Amino acid sequence: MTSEELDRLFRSTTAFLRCRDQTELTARITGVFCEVLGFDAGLLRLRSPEDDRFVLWATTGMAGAELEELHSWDLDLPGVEELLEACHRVGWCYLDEEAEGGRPRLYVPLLTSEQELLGLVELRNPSSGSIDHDRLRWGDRLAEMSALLLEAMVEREELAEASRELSTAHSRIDDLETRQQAFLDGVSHELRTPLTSIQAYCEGLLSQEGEMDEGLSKRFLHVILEESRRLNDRVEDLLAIARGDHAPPSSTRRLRFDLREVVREVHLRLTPILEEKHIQAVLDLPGQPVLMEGEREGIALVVQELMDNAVKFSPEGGRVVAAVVEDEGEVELRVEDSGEGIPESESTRIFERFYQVDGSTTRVHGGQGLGLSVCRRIVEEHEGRIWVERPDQGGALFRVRLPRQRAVLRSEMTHGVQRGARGELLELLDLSVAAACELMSCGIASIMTYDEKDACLRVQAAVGLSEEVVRRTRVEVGQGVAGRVYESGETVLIRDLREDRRFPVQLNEEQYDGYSVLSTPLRLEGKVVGVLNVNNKSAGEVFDDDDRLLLESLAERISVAFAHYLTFQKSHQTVSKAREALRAVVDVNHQRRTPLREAIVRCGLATARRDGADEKELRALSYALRVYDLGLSTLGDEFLGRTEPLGAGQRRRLEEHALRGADLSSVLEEDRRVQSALAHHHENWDGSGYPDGLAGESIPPSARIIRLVDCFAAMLHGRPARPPIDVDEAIALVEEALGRRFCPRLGALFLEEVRSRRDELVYLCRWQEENGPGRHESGPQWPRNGKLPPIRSSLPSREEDLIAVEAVTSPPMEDDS
Amino acid sequence: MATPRVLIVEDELSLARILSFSFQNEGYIVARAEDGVECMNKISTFRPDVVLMDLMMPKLDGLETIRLLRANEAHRDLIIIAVTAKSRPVDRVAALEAGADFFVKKPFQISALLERVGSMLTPRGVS
Repeated sequence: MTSEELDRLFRSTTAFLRCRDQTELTARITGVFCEVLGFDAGLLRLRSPEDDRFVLWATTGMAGAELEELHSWDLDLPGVEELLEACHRVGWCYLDEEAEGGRPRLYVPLLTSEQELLGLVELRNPSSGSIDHDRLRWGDRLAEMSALLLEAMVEREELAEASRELSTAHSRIDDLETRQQAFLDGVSHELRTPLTSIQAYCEGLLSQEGEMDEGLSKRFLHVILEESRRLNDRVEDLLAIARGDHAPPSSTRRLRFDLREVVREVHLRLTPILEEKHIQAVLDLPGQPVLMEGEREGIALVVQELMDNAVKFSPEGGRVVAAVVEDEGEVELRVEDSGEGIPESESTRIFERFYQVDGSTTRVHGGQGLGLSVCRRIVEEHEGRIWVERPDQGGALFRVRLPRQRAVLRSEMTHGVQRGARGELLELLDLSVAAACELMSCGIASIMTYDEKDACLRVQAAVGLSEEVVRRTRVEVGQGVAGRVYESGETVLIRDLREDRRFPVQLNEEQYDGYSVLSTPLRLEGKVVGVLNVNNKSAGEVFDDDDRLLLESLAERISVAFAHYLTFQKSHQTVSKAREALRAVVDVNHQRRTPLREAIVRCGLATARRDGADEKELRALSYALRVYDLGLSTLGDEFLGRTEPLGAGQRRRLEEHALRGADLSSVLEEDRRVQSALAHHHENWDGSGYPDGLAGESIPPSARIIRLVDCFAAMLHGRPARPPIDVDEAIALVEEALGRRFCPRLGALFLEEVRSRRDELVYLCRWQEENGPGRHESGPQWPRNGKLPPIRSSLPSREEDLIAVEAVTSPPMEDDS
Repeated sequence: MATPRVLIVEDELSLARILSFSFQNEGYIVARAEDGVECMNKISTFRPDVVLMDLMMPKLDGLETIRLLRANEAHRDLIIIAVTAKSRPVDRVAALEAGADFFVKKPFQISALLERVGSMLTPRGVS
């Protein structure tokens, strides 16, 4: 080798070191091989670690068809071995003297330090026409060096990749830290601001002691109270966040409630600030209750947060719209403001936990830096979605969609359940427990069935129990309350579990407010298949024998619904009718149940008992008394809250409601008892009623009792066109109508019952007047939390005479309903 | 000196009210702004001697507002008090760098704040 050649070789190889990546390096290696070993063309294949194929990386001195052909196929490992075997080995190189066209080719394998085949150099077209054997010895060295460099390059690239990843991770951590700091800033702001107010108002009070007028100091105290509450709310939010991170949401307690009610409450709370900023708030709520099941407090927080924000971001004199919309299985809450809107880029990030609009000190969400992330968590816990619409426009629209009901359901009923119809079953179970809660005025209801796999009773559907409890609860047959009921097929009524010797106390304190339990069997074709349990009666009251009747009555109907379900294939229509009937039971109770009505219903039941009704009749009546107006749910809104007289067509439709109710309920009945009571509860003793104009003893006794209860309740509650009248007045009116509208015998018994409970009724009337929402509003009137104050011994009598003259001359009930 | 004027820039209504009540009781003339934008709108008509500036506010935040105020030669002598729940030294530095005269951490004692504001105004009143 000449000195020029050596010099060239040296320069070529040092150029290796300047290569930045594998592509450049392979090209350089190919070039150096050609130059040093004396060839005009060459190529380099590298073994791919994934599939062991030898992939073309670089070529030199090749063009046209030759190059195209090279690109069209890769070699695999056996292919390479075959290729080399056909060669004649010269030192490190493999020579194929008789390659295509008799022109020799040279192959140089590149081996790693572990002697693994890394790549293959192929050289074509010797420069001098033939192989210069003298030069081939350089091949060993070149191969060794090339392999080393290639290995190093792979490592270097891996390293670079790792370092890129590291720096991304690093910047992510930085980002997280920034957000965390922003979050902490938000938290301290949220906590310290109300604290500052409290401190400042206290100081104000102290410094002005004795000089301040009473109104002002009172206002100060109010602010202090309000700010303390706010502080507490913020702490709750934080705890909620912590809980969201560290504990499963199942510890929350789910209740049935009316979403409209929540929106109204929040609106009421916002009134002062609305007035101050002259913001018009529009509530767009449906006329019917929008029932859903969930954590009421949580949902209230979401509503509050969204409405707060809407107010905060609307300019003075602006408008805020809160709407509730209901559709198939879901409810939707919409809150719209008249502010500047939210930029597109922020529309998802605003729901993130650590997010603040520019990461610095501007708080997007006014009063609350964490609010929307808390909202999102709560909504997601309810299996719902929350998002904001119309980004980049004025007037942000926040939408929340929530499933209407979320029954806690674990597995299917024990037997005979077809696949594919599961949704129907879940809904039936769900509606059944919901109906139990509504009818029994209780906070917890559950259905348990026998689970063959676990050989015990397990909860299939529940209202008011956490998922945790539902999952965990297992009751052996013959054990505990449900186990005994399942075994014996007899209802068990426990007034106070602590004192009942039959059952050791094993209720979870957290779940149960009361100690009264009622548990009744569910039967299919005469065989006990499950148990219906209720606990936590409202107001900490105790279940009694009337409650037992009602629960048994409901259990019969639930059993009928399930019997329909099990013959599902036969009649799909029946199942949906059963479902509709159960839903109507829930709705009618939710709308109409008041403590006062409940007391009157019990007078009606006692009337039947005095009249000598048997157990079966009592059971049917106890249920009929709660659902007699089922048919009203089939009437349109035009009849609700109506004050003007009805037209003839409307009147006919109104008269039909009794028949419709009977029809609706029939699907749950095994005999005609309840149906005929429902159909005829508007018949009058003298034959002047509807729908059939029955008179005297031809009217079923239970229908006559419902007539009494319905009219009496209507008088005490008042109607849209009439204020309520008091108990004594109502008694007098009923008395007067005996023999005309009412059955004289049952009417007299009913009045005796009413008189014996007069004090209670007077008290409840008063309570109703003070606490019930407006009489003209259809809406839940049962006290929230079920807490009814105890009846006072000295009852103040009502002074004002509420009765209107026309109410005396034409007793209520005929022209409005 | 003329009756001192205070502009309270605070988005929390109840806090803004008690601050304004307390300053009025001390004989100041008080105006309120709910955010930085409103502060900038009111500053030239109300011409306060002192601005009480909450740092965390919607729209235009406190630091930015302070910078804007200081950028205007007309407000060179304005006393700006930064009020915030943030308490790290860097926050304090940021507020002072933006041009605040001093920094009050929430929660604070109103009487102490009044004293401090009073003492800052007096020497100027004398001179």
